[in-house]
Amino acid sequence: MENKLENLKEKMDKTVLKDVYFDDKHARHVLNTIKKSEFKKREFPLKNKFNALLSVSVVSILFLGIIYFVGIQLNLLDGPERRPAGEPKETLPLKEEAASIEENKEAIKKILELEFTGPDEKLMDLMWNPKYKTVVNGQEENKEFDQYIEEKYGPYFTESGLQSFIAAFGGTQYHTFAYNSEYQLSFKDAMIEQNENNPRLFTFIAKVGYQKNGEEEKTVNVEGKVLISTEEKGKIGEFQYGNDEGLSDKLRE
Amino acid sequence: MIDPAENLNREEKLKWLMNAYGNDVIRLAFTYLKQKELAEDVAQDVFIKCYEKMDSFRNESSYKTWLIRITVNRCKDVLRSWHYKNMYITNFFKQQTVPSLDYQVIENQENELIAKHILKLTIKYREIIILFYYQDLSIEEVSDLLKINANTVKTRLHRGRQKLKESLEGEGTIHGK
Repeated sequence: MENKLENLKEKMDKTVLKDVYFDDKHARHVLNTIKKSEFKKREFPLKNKFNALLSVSVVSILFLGIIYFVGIQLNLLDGPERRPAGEPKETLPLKEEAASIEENKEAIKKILELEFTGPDEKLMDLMWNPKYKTVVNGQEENKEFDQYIEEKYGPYFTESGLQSFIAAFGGTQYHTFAYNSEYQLSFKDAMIEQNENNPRLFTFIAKVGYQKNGEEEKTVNVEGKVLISTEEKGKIGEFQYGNDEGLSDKLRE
Repeated sequence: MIDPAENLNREEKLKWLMNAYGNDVIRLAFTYLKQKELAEDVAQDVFIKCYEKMDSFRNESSYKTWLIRITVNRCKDVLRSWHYKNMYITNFFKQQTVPSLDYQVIENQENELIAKHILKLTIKYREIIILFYYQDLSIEEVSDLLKINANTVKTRLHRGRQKLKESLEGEGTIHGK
């Protein structure tokens, strides 16, 4: 029996284990998963400090409240010079408002086009080729990647909006999925609507085609919502995907 | 101990490990789970975990035994899960009903026969045989890895060989050899 078990590695590798091997596809999947989870970690550096931040802000609000109350009681803040400062409330003329809605829709459409036309070879190279990475103070940096994203997506997003879109809300993920499984994505059209109750909120349904090795192209509807920033007019503050009819799973099958 | 990956950063080290030990990990997982898809999932999990724990690796063991330890633990988690038991049963029926011709022909070859019979052993004996003969670990290493007494390892190794022999002889009579 002993000698039958000699060179067992070779015997098994050539027979029952011959179809079992760890290939590029598996390695890429591992690197992908790690990449995603690291992005997420970087996204919330404030999490630990949240409690401290909360108590500091509650105390400050109380404090300001007391000062304000005392001020009113002593008629210090109610001086006559304060009153005329109340300018007529800013309202957008109707025409301008309509124009800005169109602008918002245009921006959203532009992002959908960027997201669903590809995979963008240059983006993928910047994201996955290790030569672009440098480590500064233990943090990984990829200046070329950041720059490229800024160039493509930057004009339509606020800075924090873009960061959270790429890091946490799935920005560029469809490129990666398609790239790994050799699918081609093409953006067809999108229906974008403004929310009735909240003029800053838009919802979209994008029609996206995907196909592989000359097979027949299939299409799915990808839904999502977009919040326009209040601080920077016309820029996207938040962009989130919703139901994608299983597209991300299909691309990863 | 010389660390060939000493000067690499975490990601490069991971790539190096996947390249050097990917097949070992996935094949070890297969000997536990006997399903390619599950073995693939486990191997990927193992390397993700290995990346997370990279900094805690202190060269007390070799990379190989370290990875084997993670793999064995992960496989046992999977074996314990309801999902696996369920899937195993479905697969069992599939295997019973579709014996391909190829399979029959190759099975006659001795190596394949031994390999198949090893996979048929219960996990208790199978893992000892695999770790000792296939992975080439010493009795002490196996004992340390599985957290069982060295004497128990020896006994199981002995019983495992015995069972394998019986199982192979049983095969012989069925096929009239």
